[in-house]
Amino acid sequence: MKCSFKPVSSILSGLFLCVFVQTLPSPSRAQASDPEAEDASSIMRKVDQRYTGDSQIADSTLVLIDKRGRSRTRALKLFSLDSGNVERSIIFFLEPSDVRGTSYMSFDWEEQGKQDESWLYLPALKQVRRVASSDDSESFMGSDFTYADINGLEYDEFNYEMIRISDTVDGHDCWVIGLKPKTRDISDRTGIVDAEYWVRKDLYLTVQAKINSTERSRVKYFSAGDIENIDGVWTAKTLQMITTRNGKKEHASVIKTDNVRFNESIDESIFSTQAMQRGI
Amino acid sequence: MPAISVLLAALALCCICSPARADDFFKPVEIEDQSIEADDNTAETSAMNLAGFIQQRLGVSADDHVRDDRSSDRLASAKTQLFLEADGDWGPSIGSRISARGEAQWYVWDGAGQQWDAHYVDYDVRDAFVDIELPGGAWLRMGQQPLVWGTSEGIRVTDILSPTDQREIGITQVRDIKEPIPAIMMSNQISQSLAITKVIATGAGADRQARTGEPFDIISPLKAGASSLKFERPDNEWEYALKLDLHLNGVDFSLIGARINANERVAEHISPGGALVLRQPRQTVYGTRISKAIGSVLVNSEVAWRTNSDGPQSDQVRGALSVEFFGFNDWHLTAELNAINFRDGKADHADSELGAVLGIQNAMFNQRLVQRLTLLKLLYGNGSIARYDLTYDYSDSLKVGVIAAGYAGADSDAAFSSLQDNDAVFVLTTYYF
Repeated sequence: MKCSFKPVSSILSGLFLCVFVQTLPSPSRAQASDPEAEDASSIMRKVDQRYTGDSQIADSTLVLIDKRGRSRTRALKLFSLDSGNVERSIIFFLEPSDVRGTSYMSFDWEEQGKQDESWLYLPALKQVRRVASSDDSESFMGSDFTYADINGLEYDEFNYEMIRISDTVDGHDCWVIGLKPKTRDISDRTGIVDAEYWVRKDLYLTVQAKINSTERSRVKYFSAGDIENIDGVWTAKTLQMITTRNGKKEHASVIKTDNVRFNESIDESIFSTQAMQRGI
Repeated sequence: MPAISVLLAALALCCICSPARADDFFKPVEIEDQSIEADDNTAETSAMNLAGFIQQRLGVSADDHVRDDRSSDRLASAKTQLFLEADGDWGPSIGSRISARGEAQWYVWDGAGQQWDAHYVDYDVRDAFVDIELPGGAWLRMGQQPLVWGTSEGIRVTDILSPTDQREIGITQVRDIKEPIPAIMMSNQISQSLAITKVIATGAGADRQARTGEPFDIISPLKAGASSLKFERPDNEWEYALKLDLHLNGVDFSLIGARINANERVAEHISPGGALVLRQPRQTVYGTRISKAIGSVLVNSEVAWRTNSDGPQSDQVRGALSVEFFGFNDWHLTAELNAINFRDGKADHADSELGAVLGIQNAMFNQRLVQRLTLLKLLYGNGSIARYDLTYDYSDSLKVGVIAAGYAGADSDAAFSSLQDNDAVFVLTTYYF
């Protein structure tokens, strides 16, 4: 079985909405094992296997901030549905007016060897176009998040090591786990040379990440905030990615999420190229 | 010694501080929460959403002939465009859109000198449709709407419905190229991977051409010995099209069948009054389109058979094959080959025509700046167009851009003669609201 690993957390089962953990009572489940005894791979496996709800709907705002502090803001509406063999998600851009009507849809197939699929609708072209799905290291709509962050990574494509058994982030005890792609191809495709992840021990939740990018001299810093339990799913309502170059901030992206709903009934027809054209 | 101690202490402190400083990048970035909440509320609660832009465009000629004719004045055009769009949300299953565009050309060269005036003012309704979602995954769109089906840039193969705006070939911005048509479109999502779209249109019209005598007037040169041009409406204004879309195993597959009036007008005969009559041939079209992503490469192919039911035109086979490469970050490379083959040799041109498109796109500064170079080898004759465009997002509201277009080809090439003096550079400023 292919595992869609969400180190930074992936779309709707992760990126925009939430850095999820298992549904309650996940903390007690975490307590059942000895946090000090777990190895890095099994921790990240648990991060990957968190229950993230069968469906999610949310309103989000993506803010892009350049090094001079000038910001651009995109309002988004997000839907996702996990049908077992495939996790489908779709994003509609609502604001500003020059990107209004844009939509992005991805199918993350569980079946081994089946390539994930994605489509983009640009109102200027008035047409849905398939997107080559392996350009995962590309920026997602101009943000510091990549398509790899959006679509998720493959758990089996990385090696893991424990860097520090204990570190504190916002008062919470975390593991610091190193992550490295197994091959150069994987590194090129995901844009990750190596990375460190801070995983909260009580929630199996990635709250920080430092990512050495394949883009020369660039290091990216991810952080998750405003973590709340919503409908039984721990959700980070603020996600932030900062790109640095030679130690200086180059660009930042912040995703703020409101009105998150899990396990609501979603009409499956929304995950279609027809719906992308129609908009919401 | 104390000085050395202080220095060592300072160095030690630096060593300690360096990694800590990197951690500062985990601190929350301050953003204006108020504006975000306001945006969210606007998007979520408004039944009617009004948006649009105003664009000012100034063009300077880069053509040698123009320089010789005008001495110092090289201004090619000054144009203002206003676009308004209102989206209505009238319930969970009903929506609407109405949009309109106005254009004013402020400058004209009359052969002797410049004239600043409202040379022409055009306005038209772009979209005017109602969307209804019906039970069972059906979607009905009724009214004036764009219908774009093909993927090729250099030729229309399966893109058979919406005409194109050819008033400024090579310069028109992507959003303005396709013309909306009055139509009823019904799309049924049969299953997750299968959809069928049916279209009935009437009065869709033909490709939009430049006025007589204006730059890019590609119709007048066809007149040759005729006294004038006469555009005849099709005998039957009704058009029908059917499309089947299938997504299977990483492949997007479309089949189309249609009975249409071709969007390209063709010279048909000389009328008794000496006018050259141009008409849209009535055609039956069968075509297929396939898109497949293989790693970083996206392959698109289209083939269509067009059979003319009247007039002197040849039946045609049209095809295009394009490869898009996404393997380099922030770069997007496109190569397309396209062709027309005339099946019965009735036309007065070669049996086959070949065209090609090369595109290189680059995005910088988190897509704040996007630039694209397109090289187009035209079908019919040996003309080619080079276009460069750049857009810079100064803010969400304000964008500036540059478009440069150059045209190359033989003077004797009739199909190209009206394009070749139009080399120009345009500066655009667009304010979105």
